[in-house]
Amino acid sequence: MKFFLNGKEKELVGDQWFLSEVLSCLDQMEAHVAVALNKSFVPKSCYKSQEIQEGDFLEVVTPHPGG
Amino acid sequence: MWTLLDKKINKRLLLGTSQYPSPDVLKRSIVESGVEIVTVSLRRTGPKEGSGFWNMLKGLPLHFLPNTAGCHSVKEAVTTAHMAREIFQTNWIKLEIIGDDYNLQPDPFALLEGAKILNEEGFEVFPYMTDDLVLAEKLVAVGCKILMPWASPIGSGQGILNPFSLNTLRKRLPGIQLIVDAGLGKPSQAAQAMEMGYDGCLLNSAVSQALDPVGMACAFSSAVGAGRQGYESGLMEVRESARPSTPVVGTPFWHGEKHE
Repeated sequence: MKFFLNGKEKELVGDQWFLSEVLSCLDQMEAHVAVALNKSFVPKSCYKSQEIQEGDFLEVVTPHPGG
Repeated sequence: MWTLLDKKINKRLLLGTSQYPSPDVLKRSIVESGVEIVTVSLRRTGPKEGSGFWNMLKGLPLHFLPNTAGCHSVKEAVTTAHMAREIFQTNWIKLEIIGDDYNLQPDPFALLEGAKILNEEGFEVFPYMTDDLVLAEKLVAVGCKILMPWASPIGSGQGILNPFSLNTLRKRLPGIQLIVDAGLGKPSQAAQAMEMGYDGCLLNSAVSQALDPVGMACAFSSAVGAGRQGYESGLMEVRESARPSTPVVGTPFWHGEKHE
């Protein structure tokens, strides 16, 4: 399955992946991250039930300096 | 003491956390100036990026104001606000929706739409806006209790380009918290805004780009405090002509008298 993580194409073997599995597999499961899937927010409580589909756009963000 | 929403705040200076020479300089700028509210952002994860920054900041007694910097649409900004609320555990959001990349001028139409959505969802929206009165009134109408008009474009250091507009906002919106956001370059410019009756000043570049950011943060903090105290103490009215401050009565060698 191909999808996009933070703008870069990624590929995982198999067709059914849940968000929690994707984040864990790609070393993105840090304490302070938040996720948007196809530009919509996904709460942490939904990571285990949210399926990732072929071609999805995943954004994973973390705190940074800002003005 | 300044009451901002449900918080009691001692310092009316809000500080951005970006572009400092080092994390230690950022920390000392915050601590030594006494700042209690800082802005933060969300960016894509990368190798070890961000974690040191956040681990350092979260240990300080601060209120965090996440921004939606870089967003160009309502959808992006609303989603960023949702992510910020989860990470920073706050319903405060500095709503930035850029309409022009050259000036980094906010898009007033998208800002209004985004503010309405986020206010309805229970956010406390701090909209970064131009100094337009009608926009300000419409933002208040959709539930904003705080407005953040620019002084001049972000990072320009040009100071208050349109004092008339900022004065107008202050006079026409007496019950709204007004914080000047963006464009301040000198402590005297922050004092000018505070003397107008503004409730606070938010800045970043003027401090982070200074030769001595820690010293500059302290200078701005003092200027903001001085300006506010001046406003609260009641500024004298401007006069068209001079009026002597030293009593006239009893002046020796009074020029109205004839001397031999």
